[in-house]
Parts: sequence; C-alpha cells; structure tokens
Amino acid sequence: MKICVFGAGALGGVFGGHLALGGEDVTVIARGANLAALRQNGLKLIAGDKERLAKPRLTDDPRAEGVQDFVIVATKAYSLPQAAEAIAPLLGPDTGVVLIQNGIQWWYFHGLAGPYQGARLNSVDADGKCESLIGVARTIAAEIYCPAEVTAPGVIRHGPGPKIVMGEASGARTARIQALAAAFEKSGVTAEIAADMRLELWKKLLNLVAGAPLAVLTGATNRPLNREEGTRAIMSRLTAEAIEVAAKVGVKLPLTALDRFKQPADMAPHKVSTLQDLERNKPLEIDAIVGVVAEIGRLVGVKTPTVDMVYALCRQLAVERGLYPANPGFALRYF
Amino acid sequence: MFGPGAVGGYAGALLARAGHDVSFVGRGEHFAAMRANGVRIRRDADEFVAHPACPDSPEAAGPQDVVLIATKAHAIGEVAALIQPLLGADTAVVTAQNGIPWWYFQRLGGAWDGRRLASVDPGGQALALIGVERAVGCVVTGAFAVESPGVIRAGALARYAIGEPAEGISPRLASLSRAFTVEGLEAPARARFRDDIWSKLLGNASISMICVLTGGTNGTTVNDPGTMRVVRAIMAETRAVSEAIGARFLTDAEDRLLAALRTSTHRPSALQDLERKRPMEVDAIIGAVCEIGRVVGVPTACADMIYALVRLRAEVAGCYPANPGFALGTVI
Repeated sequence: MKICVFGAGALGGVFGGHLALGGEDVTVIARGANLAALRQNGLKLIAGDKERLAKPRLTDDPRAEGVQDFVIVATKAYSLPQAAEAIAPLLGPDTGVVLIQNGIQWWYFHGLAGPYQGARLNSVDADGKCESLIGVARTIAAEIYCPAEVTAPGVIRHGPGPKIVMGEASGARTARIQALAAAFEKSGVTAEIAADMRLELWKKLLNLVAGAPLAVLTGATNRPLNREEGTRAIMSRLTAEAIEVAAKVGVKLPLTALDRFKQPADMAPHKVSTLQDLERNKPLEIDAIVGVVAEIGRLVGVKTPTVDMVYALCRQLAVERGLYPANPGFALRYF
Repeated sequence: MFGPGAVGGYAGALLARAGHDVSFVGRGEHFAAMRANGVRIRRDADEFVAHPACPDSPEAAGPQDVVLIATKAHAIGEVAALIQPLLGADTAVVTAQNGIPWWYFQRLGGAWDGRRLASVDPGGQALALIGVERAVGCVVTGAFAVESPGVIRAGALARYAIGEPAEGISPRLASLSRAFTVEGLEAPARARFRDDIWSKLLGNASISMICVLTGGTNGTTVNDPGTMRVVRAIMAETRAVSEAIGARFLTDAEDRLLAALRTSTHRPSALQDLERKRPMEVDAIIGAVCEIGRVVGVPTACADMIYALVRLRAEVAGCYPANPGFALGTVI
C-alpha cells in the first residue's frame, strides 16, 4: 500500500513512523532541517522507555512520487488549502486523503442532505482549494487521540497506544477505508471506523471551542480557567452556543457537556496546544476551532454572541503577534 | 504627593514652581532621582527643574493641607494606611486615580447611598482610614510619562478636574481649584464630578481592556469590525450602568471612538503595565462597572466577560494583586 505523509510534525511522524514499521510503503514529505535530520538519522519514535527507528522513504518533492493509495495530511487546519496544492500530484481518482485537522473540516456540508448542502466554509477553505483539489470523494476525515511532540528534528515522543478514529466523508464503509484500518492495526495503531465523522468532529470541537481561545486570551492553563467563576461562565456559553449550532445542522450533542462548568474543577494541569503554539510564536488555529462555529451559526441562523466576541479577540491577538494565517477574506465577510 | 510617578510628579513640580510647599513621598528609582536632582519637566518648549521636599517617610512630612494620591487604584487600601501621618482633621485627600473611586457610593444620596465598593475598597480600609469627609476626586486628562528616572514628559493638555463626593462646588473645592490652577496645570472644579469619572471610564473600560487582551492599539481595536462590536457593547453597558445610578454622559460613544482613531497608535497604559509586568488597574476600571451594574440591576454581560478575561490575564502575568474580596458573584 503506497502511503504518503504530508507534514512531518508530531502526528505525521507518529502515524507515518508506525505505518513504515508495519511494512507499508511510506513516503514522508518534509522540508529543510527536518528533512536533513530524517535523512541522516531516520525517524525515531519514543514511547515511555521504548525507542524505535522507522525508515520511511523521504522527499521534499511530491511531484516525483506518483499517485498514492493514501495521503495523510498532517498539517494545521490553516495550512490545508496550501497543502492541497502541494499534494495534487499524489492524487489519483481513488486516492484516499486522510485529514486530521482540528475543528470543523471544509467538506462538512458536502453531501449533507438538507438546505445547506454544498455550502462552503470560508473560515477553513476560503478559496475553495480543498474542495476543488482534494474533493469530497477522496476525503477521509480522522480524529487523532495520541499526545505527541517533536523533541528534536526527526525525534518524536508520543503517548502509549496511538488511536485514530476515521471515516469516509461520504459515510460509506468502503473497501479502501477498511484496508487502511487494517494497515493501521497491523502497525500498532488502534483504528476505529466511524459511521458519522460529522459527529466526531463536533465532539472533538467541543473539547476545544471553550478552553483553547480562553487559554490564548489569558495565557492560563486549564486549571485557573476552570477555577474562576467568570471564565467558567464564558466557557459554558461558548460550549452552549456550539451545541446549539450543531443541533441546527442535525448533530445532537449532550447538554451534559455543560455540567463541568457549573462548579470549580480541580483538574490535572494541561496546556492546550493552541496556547503552546502562541508561546512558540506559531500561527493559531482559531478559524477552524472558533471562527467556524460563528460562520456556521450565521449560515443556519443561530446567534453566537459569545463565540463572536471571543473569536474577534483571539483573531486580533493573533494578528497583533503576526500569528494569524492569512485569511483576511473570511473575517471581513463574516463581520 | 504620595506616589509621585508621572501624573503626581508633574502636578507636584508645577505646584512647587508656583510657590506651594510641596513634598514628595515615594520610593524606587524615579523617586531617588527626583530626591537627588529635583524633578525635570519637559513639556513642549517649557523645560524646568523643580525641587520639592523629598522626606524619608510620611512621618517626616507630617500633616498636610492636601494629599494627592497618584498611585494605582488597586493599592488604595494599603495607601490609606501609609498616609496616616500626613492626615490632619481638615486634610483633603485627592485621589488622582483611574476608574471608579472607592468613595463612589458615599454621599451619593438615593437608594444606594453609603454602600461600599467591594471591587475597589475590598477591606473597607479607604473608607475607614481616609474617610469620606477628606475625599476629593480627581480625573486626570493628558499624556504623562516618566521618560527616565527624575524626568517627566507631558503633553500640551494637563487637566486635573476635581470634585466632591457630595457634588456641588464647596468652598474647599473652589479653593483647591484656585490653588491647583497654575501655569501648565488646569484644575477645574466640577459640580457633577461623577459625570467626569464615567466619561473617562467609557474608553478605559472598553478600548483599553480589549487592548490588554489582544495586545493591540487604539487603532487596531476600533478598526477591526469584530473588536469594534465588543467596544460598542461595553460602552453601551457602561453608559446604561452610569445612567441608572444618575450620571450624565459628557462624552458621546461616537466621539470617544473618533478620539481613539485620532490616537490610533496609542497603546493604553493598562497594556503598557501588562507588558512591563506592573500591577494593573483592573478592578477600578471594569470590575467596578460590573459591580455597580449588579447593585443597580443593569446587566453587564459583555463587561463581565471582559473583566473575567482581563483579571485572569493579569493574574497569570503577575500583574494582579489578589483581590479575594471581590468576585463577580459577590456584591456586598
């Protein structure tokens, strides 16, 4: 099975490394110092005290690789349109493109029966590049459950038991997705095939839509955010607005998701990845996590005043820091 | 002048030049420089050095006719204890601080007269140790900065508007106004002083607090349609709260927004405090708006959220002196 991994960050490394160790024909597309380190030392995966060295094929030029069975795009959401252009030479009509981006993905309304069928999400695919270059027929959406970080170029430390929940955008249980799941399982990655990835995207989004923007705005970890009454109230409203928007597009999320904001919670300290990005001066994924909820709310006629406010503040913060990926069209059209 | 930074130092220097018997009580590098070399004022072409007394301690200065407190508003309880040696029975204590003053409900009249403002004076120390009879309010307008230790740069406008908690122009207020109106300093006595407070607060509670969260300037905040909405929402809430408690606005929201556009590169002082890891005036500027909103029954949904975010932002940055005496859920 020919598999290309585009984006050799932490998650691309974990999944590409596992598949290569599992015997698949894996090519990792990387650039610069990262590529040089991978060429020299291979891809080292560290889990606990266990170290494994994977030797995927490496290149910085997707054009030379030919059509793939699968392309795993392991970039941030804001880089996906650009990635779509880069991976175009790897795609044949039957290639499965696995998208692991946080938030609501670009294909959400494609093939979704009802009044919003085919609506484009400007917050994540402003120019329609994902739509035209990847296309919904190739799309396999995925959620990753595995903490991972790049500790040095070519070296990735990850948690035990990497898991991927994935499904065709069409919802069909195709032969190719079953083959991909089997390849993951053979490589030591737990793979679940989900019937409704839209539900999975919302479930994951519900974990991010409140905590991530507030962490960015306050610089606080989850502990103080969940201790203070004032910030809990905001997180509760953000979550409630997301649940209401999801309900309007037919996804029923449990209102019990709001219970955790009722009392101060003492939780294990955790710094959400968006705040880590801010501290490392990396662009912030706020359009796909927060802006998209405001956009869908506008589309379906659900008011999202708290999401609007928090999105506006986060976006301005990102712009001030030079960490707002260029998507000026969305915010201006949106407001 | 207690805590003579830029605002107190400027007024003190001008008053000393005009012949008043001025003492500075302070600490830190800026104070040490003023003590050693006098305070140098730079304002357009007007540059001079004044030599106010710089005693070792409040005790050494003894009781004063007027004490001007130019520290940050969050420290008022602590300051009230420190200035005791400066106070006599008739001393006027002028607080040149941003936001809602600790005495806001004192001598207000009406249903809410005499309440304590938990957000600004959580332990009630200012009320107990300064006392409303000594209190005089002061709203400062102008641009002042400590350029280097001992050197203060000021803009063309330097207005220190003053007013009584009981409102009206008392003989004391009139005489303070005459004494403070010297070359380079305006000190108008304001009969409805609370109107001045709210008018200044309109921009501080909205634009400045949003700049703290985003790191932006006046211009980026009012030019972005998203943050502009937040600005307008807070302004509307601030205005509704102030009107419910009997204030009249002197500045229109639109005028304030235009003023922000004219000063588009300005970084509000609260943001500068955050960036320099200095304590921030969060409670007096926006916490008090939320608190008074609860007292008078006017919802402040947007201000509540911005207050919660700014407070935690300041706390995480080490710029927020703990104020366990006030949280949004508790109004005394």
